[in-house]
Amino acid sequence: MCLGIPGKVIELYETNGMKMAKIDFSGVIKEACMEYLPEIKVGDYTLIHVGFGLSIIDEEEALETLNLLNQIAAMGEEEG
Amino acid sequence: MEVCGGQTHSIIKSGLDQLLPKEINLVHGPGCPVCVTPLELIDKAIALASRKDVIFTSFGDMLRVPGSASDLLAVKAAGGDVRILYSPLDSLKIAQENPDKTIVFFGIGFETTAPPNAMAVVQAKAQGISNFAMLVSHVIVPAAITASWNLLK
Repeated sequence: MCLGIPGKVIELYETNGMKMAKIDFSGVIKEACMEYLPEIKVGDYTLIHVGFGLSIIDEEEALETLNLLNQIAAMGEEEG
Repeated sequence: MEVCGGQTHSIIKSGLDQLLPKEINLVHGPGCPVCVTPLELIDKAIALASRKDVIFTSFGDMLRVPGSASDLLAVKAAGGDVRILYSPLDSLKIAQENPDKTIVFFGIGFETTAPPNAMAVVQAKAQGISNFAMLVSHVIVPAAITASWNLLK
């Protein structure tokens, strides 16, 4: 819950009058609400927290964060 | 200062605090919304979740937080309808699918979680959902950190 995970907006649409998006988290696709990011576009990266986009982040920062998260996960597997 | 209880645990377990240069004084912070949720609110959550006419929805990490005598995971194990959410908006879908129940959402968090939790309330009103309720426990970071800081003095 605590983590804000970077994801890429691959689709934008409206549900119940709310701006929603399909977010690609390195291959896992999940829905998130973009009501707090009215200026977001397809192709942008966003920080998702509890199913909501909280901020638009640049691609370089997003990919660096995802890389670090993958490294942490890999270390966890090594420890067993 | 580190804020999260999980970070405190990791730092001490790995001995990171002993590796820091002596010029750096590491202070342990208040913990995250999960840790700082008052005991009486956990007890309220447990009481509500135990009711047969309630579907209790929550973020996953709240399920293991101990109340005075039990926790939400134990309520779930005993047959209570306790559901883990990805988003506060999921509560509304559950409310629409279960018109004969009251859906109570455990609305905890710091500043980052308050707007998403608030959107659930706005949407419930906009969509005319009358069987949705929220047990609220929002905390602001500056107040929590100041309280921790003052304890040190």
